[in-house]
Amino acid sequence: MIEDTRKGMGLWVLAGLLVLAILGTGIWGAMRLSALSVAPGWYASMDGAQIEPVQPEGAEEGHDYYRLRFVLTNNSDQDIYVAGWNLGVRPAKGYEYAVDVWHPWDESITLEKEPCVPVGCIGDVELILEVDPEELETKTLRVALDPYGETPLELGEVELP
Amino acid sequence: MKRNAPENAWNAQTPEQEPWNEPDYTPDQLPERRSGGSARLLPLAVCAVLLVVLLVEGAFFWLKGRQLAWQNAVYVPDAQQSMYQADESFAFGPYQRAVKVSGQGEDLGPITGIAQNEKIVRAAVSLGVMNDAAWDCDGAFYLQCDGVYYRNLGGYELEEEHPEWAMRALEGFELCGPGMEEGWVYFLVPESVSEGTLWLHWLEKNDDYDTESVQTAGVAVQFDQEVTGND
Repeated sequence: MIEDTRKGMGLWVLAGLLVLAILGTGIWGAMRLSALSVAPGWYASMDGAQIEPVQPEGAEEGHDYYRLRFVLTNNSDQDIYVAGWNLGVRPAKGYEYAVDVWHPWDESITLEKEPCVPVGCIGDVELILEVDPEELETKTLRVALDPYGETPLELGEVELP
Repeated sequence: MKRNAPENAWNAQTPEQEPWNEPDYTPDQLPERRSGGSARLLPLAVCAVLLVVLLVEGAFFWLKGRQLAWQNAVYVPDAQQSMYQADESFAFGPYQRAVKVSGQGEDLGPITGIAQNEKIVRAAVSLGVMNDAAWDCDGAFYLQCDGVYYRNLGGYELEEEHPEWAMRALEGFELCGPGMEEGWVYFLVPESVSEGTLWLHWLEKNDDYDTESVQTAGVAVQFDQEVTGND
């Protein structure tokens, strides 16, 4: 009878250890997933940013336009395409869409190929920015690598002239 | 007799027995043992359930972690860039594949469907034979003009307007293929481009098919020769 009780106790102790293992695995797993989910999707850096006002063909009235140039180093395992869907420029504060990467729309264009910075390379980037001066609350702009559906990577800030 | 018997006389008639030294009884004769067995059944079942929960939990975190890790970027060191002479064969990549690039490219001008200030250019490339296809690699072609890189147009992008160009268009992955190849690499570039550097990229892959390193070979190419034919 006593022996039976001891065996039962041993199993209950084992069950307790399993509960602790489940809790420990849960905490470790949640921390690991959290770290992985905020890890950068890209390794890239911006240098030598320059910005100047321009008046491109097809510009709309009521907006200001600027040419933003910088050198991009791409250490990611994918090419970085130089396009508005991939590189985002936003004001540091205020209305998010007061600044946008501008690209003239032409429905007759069926073959388009954006420049890119290949894997492991350093390339020049040029973007035309369309600014709504009435909505803009700051002259500080944030440049980010911001592909749709992925964690953005902040590249740096530039000041409008 | 009974009155004078010592107090433990009845106990003296039964043999002394240590509590842990149980006699051999059949299960029918010892109901206590049966209840002890059922007492072990419950913790045993609980342990089994907890073990299953632990295994399922571990599998979930492992699979989800693999999925997230796959989505995250891998740091790739700066590419190893080497420049070579045009019209001369050179050994490219870890398999030392013989490659030759013509220094005289062709300016094909604008085609239907591209922006007004753009045009198509192409460069002739010959790839020597390799003994085996390289499975741990990916390849790519780029044209660099004044610090800006353009990736080549694939055959599928050209076949609608110019199927004759698409037939001889080389793709980046063919850099890793075993067969001898000779063809053109096409680019969509700004109208002002008259020269550039054609880059061949060899991306070495690890077991997870992540890029570990990049080897590149560059050749200067001129595009000042306008061509209007369909070849």
